[in-house]
Amino acid sequence: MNKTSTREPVDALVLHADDGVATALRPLAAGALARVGTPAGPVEVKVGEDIRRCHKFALASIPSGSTIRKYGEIIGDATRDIAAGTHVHVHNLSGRAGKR
Amino acid sequence: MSERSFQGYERPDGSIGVRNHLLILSITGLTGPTARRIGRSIPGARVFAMPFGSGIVGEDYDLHRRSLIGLGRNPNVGAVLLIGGHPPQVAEFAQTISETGKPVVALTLDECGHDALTLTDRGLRAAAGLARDLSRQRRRPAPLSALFVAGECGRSDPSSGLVSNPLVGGVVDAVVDSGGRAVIGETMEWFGTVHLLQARAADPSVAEAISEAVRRREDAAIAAGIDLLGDNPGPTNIEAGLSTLEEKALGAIAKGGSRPIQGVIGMAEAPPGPGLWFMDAPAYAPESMTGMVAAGAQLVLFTTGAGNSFVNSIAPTIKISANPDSVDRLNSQIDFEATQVFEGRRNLADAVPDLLDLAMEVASGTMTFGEILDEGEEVVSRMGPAL
Repeated sequence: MNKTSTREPVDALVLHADDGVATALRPLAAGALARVGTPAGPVEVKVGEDIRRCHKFALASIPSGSTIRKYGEIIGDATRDIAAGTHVHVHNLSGRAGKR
Repeated sequence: MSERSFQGYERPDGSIGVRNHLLILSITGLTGPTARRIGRSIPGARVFAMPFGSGIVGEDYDLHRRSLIGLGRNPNVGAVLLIGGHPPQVAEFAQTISETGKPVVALTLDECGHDALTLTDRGLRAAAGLARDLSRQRRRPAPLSALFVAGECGRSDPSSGLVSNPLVGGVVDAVVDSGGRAVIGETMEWFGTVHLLQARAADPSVAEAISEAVRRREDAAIAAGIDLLGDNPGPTNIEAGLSTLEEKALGAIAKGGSRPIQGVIGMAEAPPGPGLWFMDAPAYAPESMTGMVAAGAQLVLFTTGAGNSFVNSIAPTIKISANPDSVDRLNSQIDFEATQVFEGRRNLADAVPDLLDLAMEVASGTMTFGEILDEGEEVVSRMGPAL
């Protein structure tokens, strides 16, 4: 899943077709049109707020309670509605481990 | 990639050291100051002084015994000066270490009238003789299959899971394919990935052992009233962009490559055969690395996102980072830079042979920054109370 080939420069990366989040490869400013590398080719996403390098943002809007995937695998659930292009992190994403 | 070789020190038991350390091993807290005094007098000698002694019981006693003996038996150790309090215990440890055929000299406080200076005098003379004998040994060609590599990560960020850990996984696959051994640990970081690991289990009992190890650790956290997410991912991970334990774990297990998992071993437990092994152990890097090196690993591949200076003292520890900020800032810490892969200017698959080349070079004697700067130490876990 990580065997990415050399690619045209992109601002962010989606690792798997099932993923709802992209990882910023460089700091992205609010309002910027980010070029996002995905398994199906590059797409453009308008960034809704400043995103630090290595942090995640939503590719499309994510309703509260939805499963969030990265690497094609579940990393947790949305704890509130998340708008497209905005930061996905501990304030709106909660993991499942240790909660049984 | 299986044709690769390195220059190592052949031990009497056929194992290959990538270093030729004299280890001064103090098995009880009482002899720690003497061990360090002797160590200061022999430049290059490694010292490990166990701070605990009698009163350690049960699981802790077994782990401490296994760790001390395992460090002594590690192929990177060419000779051992073993010191302790009482002759029977020291003799038993010495016997088990010397099964490898390497020279072991054992001394005790009892035999020195509990005079630390007498122990220092005898110990220093013995250590000097061992160091001279070690210096007569020469490196010889050894195959990749003689390597036992450990994968570790510390202060991870998303660049670790994206690039650095899969790179280590590529090297682990190459070592395993050659017939060598590899281990990764940090049971906490298998959470949320059990289904992926079980799919690679060599047989159903291994799959069961993986889920059992995770369940035990989760039970322990719940019983202690600990919110796992309060501790892992830690504040540095979260600051760097890792949101959940599952996200961190999915990145972390990439260090283990893609080959079948042969079994789950305990801390400091030597794997019974070649291939990839998972060590059920705490996630904190100092104790995790000591566990894997006491199991016999000669080389550690250590990925970091935000930077982590700590290394193992007996196994050279190659620091790998793909985070451009960390690589710029930590130019005397990071041994392998993977920023080109992170930035999309180089294939991950093309960078794997580069890291394998560096691993072979370090195995042949090139020093890591951690060795040059002497950032190494051993830490043995404590699980319960002492009597």
